[in-house]
Amino acid sequence: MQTDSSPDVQVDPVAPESSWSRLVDLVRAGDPAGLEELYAVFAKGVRFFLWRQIGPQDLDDKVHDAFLIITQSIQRGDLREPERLMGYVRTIVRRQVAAHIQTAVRARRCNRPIEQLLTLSDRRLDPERSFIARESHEVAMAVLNGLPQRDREVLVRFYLREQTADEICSELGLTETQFRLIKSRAKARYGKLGQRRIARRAMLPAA
Amino acid sequence: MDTEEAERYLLGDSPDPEAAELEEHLLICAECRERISETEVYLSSMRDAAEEVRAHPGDTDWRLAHRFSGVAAGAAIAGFGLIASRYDQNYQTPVEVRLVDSTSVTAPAGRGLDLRFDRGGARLEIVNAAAQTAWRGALAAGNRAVVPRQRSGTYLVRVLSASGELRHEYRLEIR
Repeated sequence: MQTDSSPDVQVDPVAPESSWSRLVDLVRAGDPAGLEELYAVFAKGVRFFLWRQIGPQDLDDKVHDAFLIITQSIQRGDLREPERLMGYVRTIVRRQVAAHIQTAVRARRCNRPIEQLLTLSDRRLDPERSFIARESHEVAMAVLNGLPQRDREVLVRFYLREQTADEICSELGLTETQFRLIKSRAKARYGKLGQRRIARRAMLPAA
Repeated sequence: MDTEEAERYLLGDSPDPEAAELEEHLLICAECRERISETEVYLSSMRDAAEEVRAHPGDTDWRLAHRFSGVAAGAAIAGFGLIASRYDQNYQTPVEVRLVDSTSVTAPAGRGLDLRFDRGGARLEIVNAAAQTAWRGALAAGNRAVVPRQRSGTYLVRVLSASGELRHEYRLEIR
């Protein structure tokens, strides 16, 4: 079974609204080129969305199911405004996610007491992503430890969701601009430290 | 999509219309999907790191060192100076540096520093601009510590309690 552990990085062409109508007409007419184009434009995005929401299990089947539903809906004439094709695809994919979640929850309720309900998908990290997660954690620790106490407190409260941005600003006497600056500096520092690590590793001799 | 938008979306803070527009865009833009993935890793890392900071405000390895008494540390400081002066012909007396809360202080590079604090604690940590610990040690009687010479740069000097809690923090410029 093919698993998709990471989203694609290629830049897809972004079609303007006028071409959505053209594409919808082709799909309605059952034109194979239209079906192929629909898949080419949306497949990676649909796969990304489904992977984030319900995990890697049976991902190919889920993407295929999504396209079947989208295509059949368009051919039935359910899409009243062809220029809203993106919104329509999004709606169908979200419904698919909701249906999957409902089915999974129902299945677990039948088999286990409710206290044993587990997460809906196995999102355990593969070795590469585990490594990235560990490295990222170390870089984040270095970022926080390198900050003055006030800035550190701002970020800890925000990223632990202890308080909203407004509450943090009010309690610590910050303007919104100062708050955003603290966050953006931390993010920039994170990026810099992360790049340094990668560069250092690239210089090490192979094991 | 900028980083702020990505962060807002992933934290669930985007208003519904903004989230809908963003999700539609993600269906067709690989660059923004990559931005979302990177931001997700960042948020997860910061959250985990923040949890660790909350749970352990000081370095647990240091907690054993609070057993050193201030007197012993003071004697060690005096002894260090004596031994160093006898055997190192280039030895220079550490420069006295008074650290006062909420004031940035400048000290010379390449010289030992006799740090004097306006407030007390048990341990000392000096962190450089790259977030690396430059020095750690006990605070001696009289709220002071002699630290080896440091390179030029900006440092945070943290005074901690015996249990590792941060008591005070000072900014030190070494030039």
